[in-house]
Amino acid sequence: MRKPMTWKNAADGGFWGGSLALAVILFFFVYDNAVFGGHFTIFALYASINLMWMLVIGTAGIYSFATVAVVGSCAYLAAFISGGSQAGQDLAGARSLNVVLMLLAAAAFGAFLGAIIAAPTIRLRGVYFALFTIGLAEVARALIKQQEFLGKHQGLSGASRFLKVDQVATETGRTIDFFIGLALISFCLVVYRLVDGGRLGLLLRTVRESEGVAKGIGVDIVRARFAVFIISSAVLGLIGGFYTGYYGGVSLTIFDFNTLLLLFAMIVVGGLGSAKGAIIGTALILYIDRTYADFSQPAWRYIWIGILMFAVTLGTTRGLVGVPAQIREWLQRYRARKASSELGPPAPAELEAPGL
Amino acid sequence: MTDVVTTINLAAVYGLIGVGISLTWAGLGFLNLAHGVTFAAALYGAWWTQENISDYPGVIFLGGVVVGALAGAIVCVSVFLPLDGRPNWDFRSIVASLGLSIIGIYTFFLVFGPQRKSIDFLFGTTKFKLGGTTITADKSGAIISANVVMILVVVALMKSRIGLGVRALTQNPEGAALVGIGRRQAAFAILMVSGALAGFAAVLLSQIFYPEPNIGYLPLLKGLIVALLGGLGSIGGAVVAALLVGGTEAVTSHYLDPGWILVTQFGLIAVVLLVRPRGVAGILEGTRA
Repeated sequence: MRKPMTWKNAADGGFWGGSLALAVILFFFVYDNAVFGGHFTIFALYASINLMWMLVIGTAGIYSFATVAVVGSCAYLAAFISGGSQAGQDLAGARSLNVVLMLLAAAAFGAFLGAIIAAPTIRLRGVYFALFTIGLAEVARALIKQQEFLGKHQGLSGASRFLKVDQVATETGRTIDFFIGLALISFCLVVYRLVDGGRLGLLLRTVRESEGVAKGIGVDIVRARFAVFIISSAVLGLIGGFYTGYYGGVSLTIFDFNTLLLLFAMIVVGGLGSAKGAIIGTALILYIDRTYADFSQPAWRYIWIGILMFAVTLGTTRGLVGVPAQIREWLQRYRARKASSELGPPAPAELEAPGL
Repeated sequence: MTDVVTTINLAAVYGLIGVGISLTWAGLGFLNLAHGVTFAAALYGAWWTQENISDYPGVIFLGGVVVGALAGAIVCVSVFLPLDGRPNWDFRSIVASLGLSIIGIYTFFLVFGPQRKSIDFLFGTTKFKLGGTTITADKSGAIISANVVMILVVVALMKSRIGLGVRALTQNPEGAALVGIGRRQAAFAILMVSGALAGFAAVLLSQIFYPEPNIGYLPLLKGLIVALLGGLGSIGGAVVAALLVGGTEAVTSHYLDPGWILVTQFGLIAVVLLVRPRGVAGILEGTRA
């Protein structure tokens, strides 16, 4: 049976439709797409990563910081199997792989990494999980920079790309990249909706709110958490493959702690547990990041991002996306207090229970 | 023998960082991810003291420890006090401490620039032999002073009134509140002590970790590894874990390559957590969760 249309559904539809229209208008009509296209590619990658991270942190309440480690490792795998080689070495053609197969392999590797990370840790409580996973990007960097075949410090280049050689840095190439970015975000949104809005999401939210209740009603907690971790890791792996597909290679900078902080700031500022929060947070933080990147003192961008992160954490309970609801709650409380003060204290007779 | 000395040296210093993180978690339920930036602040404090006040080692140590304690107080005022008791406290405190880290790191960039500074050898450059192994004054000084400080902290926890309050908070926060132990006053004490410990560790490691804006990340990771491996909240567990972490680091760099250190340390954590999710404390107490 078709669900009735509500204001919330209409607002949701308006948000997503409006966002899509805004992206198309900005790309084709407002900005120079040679500049905007590059920013949009980064936005697409970050927004997609954040949607998957939101599933793990927001829906499941698993404080995982393994995101960058999984994306980076899968980007390396994609680059390696599709012909990437260390800068200066000419191995072009020694290995080559169709870009679709490269993406599938990256997704499979992401799921595999997710299983390896989750196996010893999925039973851990919140902060233990955060403690274990916060260093994984550094571990991945340490492992990769030992390997000659992964390009050591220089990374890999010359891997399979979405664009043909003659399309790179052209109008056509930028348009293709733009629509690939839109497709990636859309795919991640569909996965987010299917998991968050489906049975698994319901189970995970129950576990997040109360493990005792979840156990009591027979939820297999470990299985549910394991499932969401594997699903999100597989998609994060796919995003790693997209990273390689966009840039034709990857380097160790992908594992930078700053990247992890930036991504984390995005989901926190936007608002946990909401796809809209992931998108709004990504757009806002990326805007600050790009705006200050060209300034003489780029350190200011991180200071502003830190201040924003700090202010949102102290001032809001559900990030920017939850501010309207927070204001509504505050107004309701204010009106209730005002109404009760206008009524004045109850008369003594009213306090007496009838019949006593 | 060289490996043993290196192990004890690293364990002593990592133990100071790990105990600070563990104590903050146990006493306040607060995972302080701004501990790395506290470490960096203390390094800058020691360097600034050396450049502007005195290059006498004791004064440099004092500079690092005082700045570390002040950084701990800033964490308390800006993160703990505004968020304590509010909804979703555990996650929001992690976020706010990371936000503070970002602000701190890039303020160092603006104030001190990206170049690394240097701090003199605080225990001199002499060497002596012990059982055929050459031990530098830096290593022996670090081992002795770190152990003395650790013992002082444990004694203070056991004997002082503030220590009694902290122990009560770690064992039963509600009970502690009922008998009038102020959580906020204890928070100041805990965060300032853990900041001072990080400051002391920073000065001891100043020949390996030079003052530069991003320097706190790796010591934070080492501290987290020690705290996690030890079982959050267990001082005894943290000490044993510090020895394990230091040992793994010494053996890995001797037999494999220093580049593999983090890999082997995380491998060790994974193995321990598979067997005992509460880390070494779980093994010591024979509990699993």
